[in-house]
Amino acid sequence: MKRLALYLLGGLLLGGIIHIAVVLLVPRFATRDAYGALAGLGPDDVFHAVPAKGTGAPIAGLDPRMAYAACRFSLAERPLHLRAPMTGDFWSAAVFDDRGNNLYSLNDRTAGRRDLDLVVATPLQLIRLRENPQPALDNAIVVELPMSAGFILLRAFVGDPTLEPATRKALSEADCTAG
Amino acid sequence: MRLLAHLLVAIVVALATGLGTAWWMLSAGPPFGAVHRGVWVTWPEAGRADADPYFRAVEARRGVAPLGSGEGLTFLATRDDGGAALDAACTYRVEGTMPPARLWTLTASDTDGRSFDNPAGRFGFHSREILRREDGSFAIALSRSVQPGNWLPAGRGPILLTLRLYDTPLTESGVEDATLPAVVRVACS
Repeated sequence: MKRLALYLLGGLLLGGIIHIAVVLLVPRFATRDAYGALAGLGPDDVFHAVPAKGTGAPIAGLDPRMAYAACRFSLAERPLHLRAPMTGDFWSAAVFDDRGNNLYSLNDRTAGRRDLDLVVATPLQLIRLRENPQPALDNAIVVELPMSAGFILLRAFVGDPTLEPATRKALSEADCTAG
Repeated sequence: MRLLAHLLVAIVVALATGLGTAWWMLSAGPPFGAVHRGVWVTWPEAGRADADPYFRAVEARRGVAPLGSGEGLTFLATRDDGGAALDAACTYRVEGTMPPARLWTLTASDTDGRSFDNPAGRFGFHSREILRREDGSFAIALSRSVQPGNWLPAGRGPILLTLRLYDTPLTESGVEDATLPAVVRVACS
């Protein structure tokens, strides 16, 4: 009896370890997560319009009053350089890694300008960029993020349905492989 | 033989407690870090890189991409001020003022976040189109039937209200002092 109790205690301890392992591994193996669902929109390294309404929306809980575009990227070969004309009204951008962690975000006011010119680089890539400064990146916002792959989500406010075509056009001109 | 039986018991207990508690803690919503303001709840750590593992797991299972701390803050409500679950069979009044934000939107959806289809094509209100009173406060009528003033069409079944504050100082200063609108039940059919 005493021995069985010992095994039960061991089972509970092992259960605790399984609990921790499951919680930590869920983001890696989740099939419905945002990073995985965005692959269904088309190839990586290109911005795709993300529907915010309806049953086919790849990301749950998006604001139906905003227009969205997302680009899956990898930093394995080179830093991400993103350019987007954006709109005169509220817009924001968020960088997620492939586990869905929100690593960096900014909006039109914090960017201080109307268009978006953003570089995402790993610490090593940033050292290389500093050694060989590129004139094309002079005006870019450079962010150092310890990540290998992920996606960037642009959102732009559509105050009125009549403004939607212009907003969608600005988002469709977003480029996540700029020079 | 006895050893084998004991080992089997230990393994079954381990799997049952481990998987069971993990599933239980992840299915109800993020278990830690929620801040309640009236009927509204928010997770201020949502948009930060150092969100806790439970939060990350829940977000990954739901397939959501939360607002970053540089973008804004999201509040959710599924109950009225009386504590009853929001349901499309009732009419509600969402009334009061909003915390400071450059822009906010308030939308109604089902509990999975899918917008209600409606002929008016109206899924919510934003801060620039809403009709306000002279003191700057507002009242939104959440109902299936047409209402005067700010009418937000409800669909069918349980309702989730989502308030998104874009570019708000609350992401820096914290939400403890924020005053959010009340959700009052008017009538049920």
